[in-house]
Parts: sequence; C-alpha cells; structure tokens
Amino acid sequence: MKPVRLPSLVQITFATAVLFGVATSTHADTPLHLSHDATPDAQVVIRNVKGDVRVTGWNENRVQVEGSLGSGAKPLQITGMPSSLVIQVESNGGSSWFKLGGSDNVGPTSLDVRVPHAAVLQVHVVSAPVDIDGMDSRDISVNTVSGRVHLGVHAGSVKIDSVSGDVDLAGTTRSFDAQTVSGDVQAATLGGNANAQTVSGAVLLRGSALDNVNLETVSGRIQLDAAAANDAAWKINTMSGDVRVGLPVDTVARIKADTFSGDLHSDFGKPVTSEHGPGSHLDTGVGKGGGNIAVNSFSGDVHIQGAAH
Amino acid sequence: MRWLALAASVAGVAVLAGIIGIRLVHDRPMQSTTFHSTAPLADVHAAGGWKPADPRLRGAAIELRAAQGELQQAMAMAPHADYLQQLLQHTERQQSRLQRLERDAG
Repeated sequence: MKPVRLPSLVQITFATAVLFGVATSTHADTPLHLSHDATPDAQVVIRNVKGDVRVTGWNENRVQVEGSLGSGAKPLQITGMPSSLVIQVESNGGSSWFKLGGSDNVGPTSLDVRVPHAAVLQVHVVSAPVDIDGMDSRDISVNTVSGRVHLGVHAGSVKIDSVSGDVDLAGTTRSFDAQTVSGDVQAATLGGNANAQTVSGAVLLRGSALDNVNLETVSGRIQLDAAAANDAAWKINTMSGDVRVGLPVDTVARIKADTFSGDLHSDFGKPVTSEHGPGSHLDTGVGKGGGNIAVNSFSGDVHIQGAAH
Repeated sequence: MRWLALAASVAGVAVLAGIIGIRLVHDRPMQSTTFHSTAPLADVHAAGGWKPADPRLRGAAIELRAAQGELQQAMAMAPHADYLQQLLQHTERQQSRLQRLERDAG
C-alpha cells in the first residue's frame, strides 16, 4: 500500500488564504465613478433599493455618479440618451430591482449623483434615505417605502409617495403632493397648491398664499400656517387627528368647520354647539369675498387661529 | 513530523468547512422576508385579509385595516359626514398602492 502524501503546511496555508480571499472578495463594495452627457432639462431616473441616494444639482450638462456599489449588485451603468437617463442598481441574480425582501442578497449601495439643476428627477427606493438639494427643476418625484425623503429644492411640482418614510420639503414648490401611511409630512415654504394625505402621519405645513389645499389624515395631526389666496379652496379632513390652522388676522375668506365630538375653537367667528346632539359648527365670512376654507373632524380638536404673518 | 502535517491538514479542512458554511448561510435567501403572496388582488380582497410578507408593508397593511375599521364605526355614528367616506376611499387607495408595490416586488 502506497503511503498517502499529505500536503505541506505551506500548501495548506496558501490554499486557505486563496479560498478566504475568494470568499470575502465578492462582498466588498465597489467604488463608483461614472459620468454621462445630459441635456439641461434631462429626465433622470434613479432606482436603488437600499443604501442611500444623494442628488445634487449643478451647472454642468452632465450626470455624474460617485459612491459605492453594494456587494451582489450588477456593475452599474448610466443608460439612455442625454435627454433621458437611467441609473438603476440591480441584483446580480437578474431579478426585478424592486425585490423588497429578496434584496437582502444585495448589499447597500450609496449613490452620490450630480445632475443638471433643471433636470426632471424621478427617484425610486425601498429603504434608502433620499436627499435632493440644489435643484431648480420643473418636476421632482420620489417613491419610497421606508426611506425618509429630504428635499432642499425649488421645483414646479413635487410628488412624493411613501409608506413609513418621513417627508421633509425645505425648498419651495408651486405644487406639493405627498402621500404616506405612517410617515410624517413637513414643508416649510409652500406656495400654490398643497395636497397631503396620511393615515397616522402628521402633516405640518407652512406657506405663503395657498390656492388649493387638500389635507387628509385618519389619525395624524394637521397643522397648517399659511395665508389663503383670494380664490382659495382649502379642504382639511381628519377622523381623530387634531387640526390647527394659523391664518393671518387680515384673512378674507369664508371659514366653515365641523367636529362631531372634538373641541372647536376659532379666532374667526363664533362656533356653535348643537343643542340636540353632539358636535360643534362654525360658518363665518371674514371680510368680503375671498376663498373658502373648510375643516372637518370627527373626534379631533380643531383650532383656527389668527396670527400676525 | 507526519503527525504535525496531519494536524495541519485537519485544521485546514476545518477552516475551509467553516468558510464554506459561512458562505452558504450568508448567501441563503431570507425566506422570512420574501414575498409569497401571488394571489390576484380580487382574491386577496375576497379573503378579506391581505397580509403582505414584507414586514414594512405588513405593518402598513395592519394600520390601514385598523383605520378602515375605525372609519366605518365613525360613519355609523355620523352617517351624513361625507368627509369620512372620502377618508375611507383614501385608505382604500393607499391599500391598492401597497398591493401594487407587492406585485412589483414579484
């Protein structure tokens, strides 16, 4: 019987080191340095499941991507034409980018994207936080599940769909539309039209003269501090959230408010409590003409306050 | 010397087995967070209990169902409050949006 030849210690150490290197190398993040020509008002679509997305507007007609690609992701490319570009992080497995649970095989990708400041932007993420700054765009939209969204932008319209991620607009827009289930919605400098709908998320908005306002929550509180434009049409509805509306003392509008079992207080007009049933009601005209403000609550308290703006 | 080489071989095999084991565990899909629901939306509605597998959507689905129940109770107490009907429709639209997200996820 021939003696079995055992590998030497050096051979074993070398083989182990090689195998260990192979085992770990596929999990290392890959640095990203990509660039693509773009038109000044290019449409740019960014898709990333998890990690983070930062988008900054700049004065160059070029899209640039820096950051790091998560393990298990396909090599990243900027695809499309200069007028329409896509940056999409995909799994190496070739599955849909939007695998909420399956994406656990792909490591987090960090995208730091520069785009022409007038680009039209669409960002789709699942759990990645999104920060967009320095843009002066016609249209910005963000879809997220649990990632928070922060926008420091000037945009003709902003549309955000979220499930549990908070939404924060620090810039200005003429048309703001935010939908969440439990995420809070905040915007500090609105103008034009505002539409926000949540289930339990709070809606906290400030603005200048607002035209059309449609705010709805089931249990989230609502606070709106703004002036009503001359032809304003404001509708604020909640089931159990408290509502606080701050209006300039010189507001000209017809103000109606109803609550079934909550308290109703107003610096404009005098609320009436029903003698034969529950509820409080306010219907008052402040000044001549103006727009319409309607607030409805089932059990939440309603406060309409006059404030010096 | 032969014993030393044998011991080293055993140690090397153990290290290799460990690495392979770690890779297998790491690469295994997380079954608990993948979607299993492939039922058409109509069937889901008919079942009356949409339960997405993803924990982020599952929490939102529970919240939406609870909100719909509370709204229906409020509507029973204040049947002429049209805005409650609008809020209920709003929760139904949110639910449809979440179901689309689940479908998109495959």
